[in-house]
Amino acid sequence: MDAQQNMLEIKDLTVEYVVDDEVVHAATEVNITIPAGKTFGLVGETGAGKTTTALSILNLVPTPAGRIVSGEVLVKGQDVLEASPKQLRAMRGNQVAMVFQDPMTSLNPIKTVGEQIAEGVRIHRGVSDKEALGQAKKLLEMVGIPGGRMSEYPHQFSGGMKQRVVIAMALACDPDLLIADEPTTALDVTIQAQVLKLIRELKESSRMAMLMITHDLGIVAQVCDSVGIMYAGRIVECGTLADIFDDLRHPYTRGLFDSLPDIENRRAELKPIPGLIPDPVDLPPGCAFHPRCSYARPECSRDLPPTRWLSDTHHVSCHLYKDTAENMLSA
Amino acid sequence: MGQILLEVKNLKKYFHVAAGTLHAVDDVSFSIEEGRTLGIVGESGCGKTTMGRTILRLIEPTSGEVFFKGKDIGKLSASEMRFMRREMQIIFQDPFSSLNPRKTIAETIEEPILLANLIEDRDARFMRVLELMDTVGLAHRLINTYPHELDGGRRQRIGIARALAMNPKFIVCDEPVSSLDVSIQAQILNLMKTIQRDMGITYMFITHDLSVVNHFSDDIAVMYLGRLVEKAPSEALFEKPLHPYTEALLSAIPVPRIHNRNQRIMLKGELTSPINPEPVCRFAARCNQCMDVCTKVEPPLIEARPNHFVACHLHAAIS
Repeated sequence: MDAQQNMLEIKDLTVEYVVDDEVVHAATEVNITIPAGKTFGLVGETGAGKTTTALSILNLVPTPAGRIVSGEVLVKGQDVLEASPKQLRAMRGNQVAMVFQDPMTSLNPIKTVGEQIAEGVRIHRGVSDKEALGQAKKLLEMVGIPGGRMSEYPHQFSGGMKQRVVIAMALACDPDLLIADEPTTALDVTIQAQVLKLIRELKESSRMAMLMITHDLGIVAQVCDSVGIMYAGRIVECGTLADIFDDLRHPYTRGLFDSLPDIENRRAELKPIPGLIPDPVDLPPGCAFHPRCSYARPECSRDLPPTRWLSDTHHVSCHLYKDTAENMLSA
Repeated sequence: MGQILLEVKNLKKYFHVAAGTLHAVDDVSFSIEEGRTLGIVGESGCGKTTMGRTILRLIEPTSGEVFFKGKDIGKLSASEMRFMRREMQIIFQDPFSSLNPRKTIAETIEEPILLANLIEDRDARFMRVLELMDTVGLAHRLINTYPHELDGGRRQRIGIARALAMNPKFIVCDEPVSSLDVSIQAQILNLMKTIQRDMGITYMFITHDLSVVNHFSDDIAVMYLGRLVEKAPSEALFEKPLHPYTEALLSAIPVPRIHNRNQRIMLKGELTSPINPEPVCRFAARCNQCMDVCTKVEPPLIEARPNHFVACHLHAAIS
């Protein structure tokens, strides 16, 4: 079925960095599939491997330290990792666009925002300068900025406006896939609400697929269709919004939710996950989460947990579910 | 009602900038009772950090008074103030830039004790450092490590230990958990609560994170462009916010659940400039309930319900 065409398929992706002769396991056997028109939320804490996964999609992992060890990345069926530099250039900013966390550093301070948006259109669409600028004006208006401001410079815009400009740039060539790396983390909460609303509206009006990287489960609940929870380079649980928010299975996913203050019950005690995120140079054997896990069993420190599919959409990698699909977390 | 520990009266801090006068903190008054936590919330640029620092006299106020244990600290001499600061400490947002990279954990925690000449005996001082490390949950084996060897959560624990070294009564916490991951954030928040319970410390907790402030504070004050626009006990503020800005702010919180989500109130526009503000309601331009009077007269802070203060013409009319 064409409507179910996969815009992005990541298959068994493993990425390492070699730093001072030590191997950093940044992403290990990552699998992500995003159909057209859907948004996938990749959630995890600092150093979980979210950004490394995103950079691999455009083959942007910094070399020589970084190395894609194995796996496949298919954008609309085309293998990115096998693509020539020329093919990649044609893809970046065109078929696949990226929005970074910090709008201040992703804009050129000495070019007007109009020129910056028009640049991608001119290069990828091969249109005249005038046409490209006209297109830029339309894009600015689409993200809620008056077209008359296109001849202004980034410093004349506030943080929220700059992030809108960056989004307009990303959308300039009507991408099949938008990668958004913490797009609202640097923004205030009322501005964040505006930008998230914009993202939701854009999603509804196009077939674009989106990979949303975030540490905020509240944002996931608002804009994503499915979620992957990443810990120490691996996706430990993955499913639809309902799978994760109503029927989560992995002790780490539970820990993430329990660490958040409950807005409706301010007296509820926070239950932090004990301990710290492991050093990716020196991951614990077996399940990387076992030293912090209150459900840990002897096999957890020995064997890698198997991935169990609980339904067509929901899978979890945890020894608790080796023999059963029953929810093993105590209430 | 407990004893009032800190009272702020008509506090103002203006900065002179090229474009005019920036009203960072504009005529703010409130008090905090001993052993309680007042949360200060607002978006970037609303003056919350400047207010925290002005209260500790790390920045001198333009006008207004701050009473600590009944004493006007604005009138204290430099040496008296230094003495008073033992009881008034601060925890900074960024545990990466607030620690000296060339000092070990032990030296960092010991420094304030040395400077204040609190404990002269070297061994006793060392015991005190170990005791403080226990209090904040730092393993003794870390005693000779440097900040760069530690993660953000542990660095923030050092910041807390350093603040506690003086046995303070009052701590200004300026976004103490915003740079931390959620699982670590919860650890630090729980630690700060335990410390408050055990030592009877009063906190002023500055943050932009509304879920955190609701969980952590007894009372909440909302700031907008240098003004205090609403102050109430946390339950009352979250249940029935009176100011349209507070209402919008609360509805903008991304709640991590997928059922029964409330309708969001979208604010138009962004913060206006705090430079040379007109004497009208500063929120009027973004307010969805703006009336004629709002663009003409600045609303005063009034007690609209018992203990619930708001600066908004909608409620001035009612009372």
